[in-house]
Amino acid sequence: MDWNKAKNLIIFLLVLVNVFLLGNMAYLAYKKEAASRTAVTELTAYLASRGITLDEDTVPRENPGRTVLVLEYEEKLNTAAARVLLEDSALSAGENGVYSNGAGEISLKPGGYVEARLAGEMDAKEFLRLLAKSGINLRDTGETADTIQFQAVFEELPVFNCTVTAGREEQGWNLSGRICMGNALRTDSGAERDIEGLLVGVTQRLALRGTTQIYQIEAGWVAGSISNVGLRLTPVYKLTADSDDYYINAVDGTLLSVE
Amino acid sequence: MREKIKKNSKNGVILLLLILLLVLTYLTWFGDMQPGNAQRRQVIGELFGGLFWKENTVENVYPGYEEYDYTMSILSPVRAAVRNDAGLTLLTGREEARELFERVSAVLASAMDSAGRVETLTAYQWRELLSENLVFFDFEGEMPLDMLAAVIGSTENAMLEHQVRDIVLAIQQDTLTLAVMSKNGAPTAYTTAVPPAELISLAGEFGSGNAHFAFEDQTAAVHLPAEFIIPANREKPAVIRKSSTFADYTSTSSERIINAVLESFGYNPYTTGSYIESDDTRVYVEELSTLRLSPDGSLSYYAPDSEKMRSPAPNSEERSAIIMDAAVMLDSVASDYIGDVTLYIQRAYYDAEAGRYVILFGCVADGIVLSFPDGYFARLEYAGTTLASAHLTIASYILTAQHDIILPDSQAAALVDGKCTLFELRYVENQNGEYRANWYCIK
Repeated sequence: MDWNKAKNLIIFLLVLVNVFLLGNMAYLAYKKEAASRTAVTELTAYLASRGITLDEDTVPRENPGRTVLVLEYEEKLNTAAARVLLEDSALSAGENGVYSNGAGEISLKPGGYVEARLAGEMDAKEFLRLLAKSGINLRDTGETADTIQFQAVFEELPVFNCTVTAGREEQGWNLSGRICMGNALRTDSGAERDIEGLLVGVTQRLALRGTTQIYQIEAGWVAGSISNVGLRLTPVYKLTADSDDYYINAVDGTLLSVE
Repeated sequence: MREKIKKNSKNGVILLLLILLLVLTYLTWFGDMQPGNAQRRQVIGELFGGLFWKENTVENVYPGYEEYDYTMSILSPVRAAVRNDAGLTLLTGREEARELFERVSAVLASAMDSAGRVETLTAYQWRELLSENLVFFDFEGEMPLDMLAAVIGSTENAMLEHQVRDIVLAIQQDTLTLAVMSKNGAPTAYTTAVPPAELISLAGEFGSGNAHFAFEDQTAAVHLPAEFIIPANREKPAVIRKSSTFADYTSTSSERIINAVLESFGYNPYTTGSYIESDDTRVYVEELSTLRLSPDGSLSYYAPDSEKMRSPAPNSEERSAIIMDAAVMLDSVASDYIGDVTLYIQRAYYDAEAGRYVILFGCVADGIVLSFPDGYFARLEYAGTTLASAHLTIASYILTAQHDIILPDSQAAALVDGKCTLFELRYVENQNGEYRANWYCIK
């Protein structure tokens, strides 16, 4: 058998099949993009017919495919974070779950509530670096001379009702607020729906509340405590509108009340 | 040598093309390109997950979590308040109240387990207790306390009163006191063995206070129950628009809602037989159970086999199972269309004459209860742990941008002749299908 010719034939066939699959993928990508553009155009037209203006560019094009998650409270994660923040690799929790040594004191409660006092001369940059090292995912959202505001972040998306305020004191920094830390567990809630369908579902309610313009749509999470477990993270879209801010549950399309 | 290099190159090219083929095939069938791929990914993930590793889901780690979550959405208090040294802070948002209740429920469960000496409080003692640093939960309806205790994990609570509206955890002289108030009864207090440190720490997170109890106001104290909470700046209540989702049976959203309702009651929307009566009521029949949907959104369900059964009063475990079943079902029926209101348990009781456990559900929006002609939003009756009948309304209740101007609390209280046992804002429907809030008093 002339293996040379056989290999040439195999290479030719493989190239043909791969070209076909590549072409098919390019076609599917084009179709998906066209369908997304059409959906957004129809959405903005539908909202306009209900008296609500929405710029097409503000509509997210990708569906992240999130589900409701549960962050299981884990003491070892808290201990690891406390050891980094208080710079003591042998530190463990004292009474009432409070970590303390000469460098300060940290209380990490179920539900993500944190209160900390960190001693030491640290400027804002060093403080931010220390927080990043500790595994607490925060995004800087505003600074003044004496305070820094943070937004908790999970899987690179903001957790809208979890914020932390750091205030500079004479002897160091005070930290208080809510973070998201824990072992992530999937639920059977089902994956999130496309933003177009979610917006259509709440249009009537937005219109009745006097909404005439939606300025921004942002994907994120809303956290809720679960007794004896930890935190529930619900995937949401935050609508910034002229009448108010709205949080749409991305899985079931309900409007959440978030303080 | 050249032949060898040529031969190896061809082998290399074939190998690369094969790998590329596998990658492209995977992306075509399991990538994000086609809508059906997500389901395919999930099935394969579950298949291989089951074979090679245990999937990290909440049900594997905390069995029964989903039912607990649905149940708590209905069982959680309608409003809550926290008093610390700075003052009393009122939480009227249902989500806020639930968040506080979740954080406190472990302490509450421990308090229930260790509930000791019981004392019926005088009016003076009740006011004294409400003056302490505390956490206050208002469930609006009559909450079966033993069932609530079972849901939050309390196991030894035989001493506790049965149906309560308010639960208070107060810090008195470095101890934690558990107090409960039923709708028409006197307040009852229990000593507990729970250290107050956790509650003190939690209460300290709240701000400078935005409310006070009625007994702390000279005028209101004369007319209102002591535990009625008066906010410093009460927000004007929004007008609620009620809309029937079945005004047009042929619309896509109505069909979707009807199918979801049918599935919640165990019907297959694609095979269940149905017919329309002369008054446009749609009737669905599956085996012998019947579900009727009127054009105005009234729904009634009967299961005749269950209807004929007379069952004994359920124990607290069975009541918990019934409430969980009711909560899950109502959530799947109502969440898609109900709008800006949330459900709460108005009353749960055993009807000895009919041999049924009856649960009445009410609706609340922004901390204000909605009134219904039948006195409830939904009524579910169980024979044993099986649903025997149900009555509810399929309608949307949506907050509008319009607000009502109402009398301030103290002024409204001053107009009352005598003392009220119940005083609150309520939404009442007018002839335009709107719900408007006004003061409501029972003496």
